[in-house]
Amino acid sequence: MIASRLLALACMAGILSLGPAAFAAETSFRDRASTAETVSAENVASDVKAELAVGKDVAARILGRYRLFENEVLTNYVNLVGQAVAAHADRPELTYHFAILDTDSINAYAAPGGYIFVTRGALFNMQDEAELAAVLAHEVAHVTRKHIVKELRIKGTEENSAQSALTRVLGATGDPTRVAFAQAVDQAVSMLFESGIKQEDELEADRVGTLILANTGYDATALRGYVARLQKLQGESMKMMHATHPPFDKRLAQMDELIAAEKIGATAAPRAKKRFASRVN
Amino acid sequence: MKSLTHKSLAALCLALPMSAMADATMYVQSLKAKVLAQPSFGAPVITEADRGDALAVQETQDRWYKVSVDGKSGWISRLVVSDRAPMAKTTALDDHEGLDISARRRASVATTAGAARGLAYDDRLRASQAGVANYAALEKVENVQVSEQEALAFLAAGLKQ
Repeated sequence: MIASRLLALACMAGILSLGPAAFAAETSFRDRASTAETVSAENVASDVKAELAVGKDVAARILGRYRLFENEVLTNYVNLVGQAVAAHADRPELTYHFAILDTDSINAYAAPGGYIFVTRGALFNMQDEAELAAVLAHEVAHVTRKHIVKELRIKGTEENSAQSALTRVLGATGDPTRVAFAQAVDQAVSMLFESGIKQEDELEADRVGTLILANTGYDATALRGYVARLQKLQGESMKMMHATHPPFDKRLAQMDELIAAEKIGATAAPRAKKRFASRVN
Repeated sequence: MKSLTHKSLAALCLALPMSAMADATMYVQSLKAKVLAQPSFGAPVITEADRGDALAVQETQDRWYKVSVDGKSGWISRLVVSDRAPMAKTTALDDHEGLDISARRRASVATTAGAARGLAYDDRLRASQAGVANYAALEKVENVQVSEQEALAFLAAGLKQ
């Protein structure tokens, strides 16, 4: 009887201590930062608007660095595949935009708010539609996980906060905080082209991108396959990819682990190779 | 208590944390979400849930929730659900709400209504003239319209290949 009571107490203690911890570990997969605080729906909407404001200017800076590749057929194709991928991810409040950058450099970029770019060099190194979807899913994952937004701590302010009152006082253009906004755009651009997004965030984008790809219905090993092929490429076109991304071995190892855990790839899944070949080449 | 043996208590210990989320309701965020026979993307697809579906969580396992959709029980990825109903499409700031940015390496938090719509017109003009930014190209990017339904139809055709 005593043993039973002790076991019951231990059991309850276990539920109180291990239960929330276990749940916290799982929610950390979903959203590491937002679980730490409870935010109202209004704040969430305000944060999204702030993210969009920054994202628009970051996207314009990307297009200032590389010319837009203006091929209507390819642009429409990339948008169709990209929108299909984004529709299977978890941020319905965003309107995604997909475009091709006219450069031999092999890379892809995501600005906050859903502006996604793939380079011509990357596109012409793909072998099928699943690989295109995979690269776009990796970029969509950067947006859904809010990697730049969290790193730069971009958020909307509360209407009734002291800072909002300060906002109204400082409201005119030319104030120091306008400079802060411009600095945030600069820093986001620097992350994309120079310092790179944090390694752990790049690795998360590989994992989440693979799962988005699986939920979309393409062969979810496609991202792993594309990255493995890039690993063998050398030269100028890969310079920025090497400078801004984690080592290929590390990326491949953790994708292998996820693919095994999710039992992905055991059966053949669609790659839409013919459709890709009819548009890209 | 008499009826509870050590064995049954131990079983309760193991079972309760797994069912702790059993009363939770999760809302589907993606337009479509696969509901699978087992908690893995390699498992057979039982059915699909739609954006906005409110699903009662029966069980949790790692990155998965066990739910029932159209009377069919299966597993849905935590990645595409949330405890909040899906938000409506949002556009960039269109009023005088503030913006709060604490950028990397900045110790202080700064806000501005002037930044609420992004960079001011003259900032953008300067950036464009200097060739640092290209807002004309951005407008072209934003003008390409593909609806979700169009993309889904295109996807379905591609996946049949």
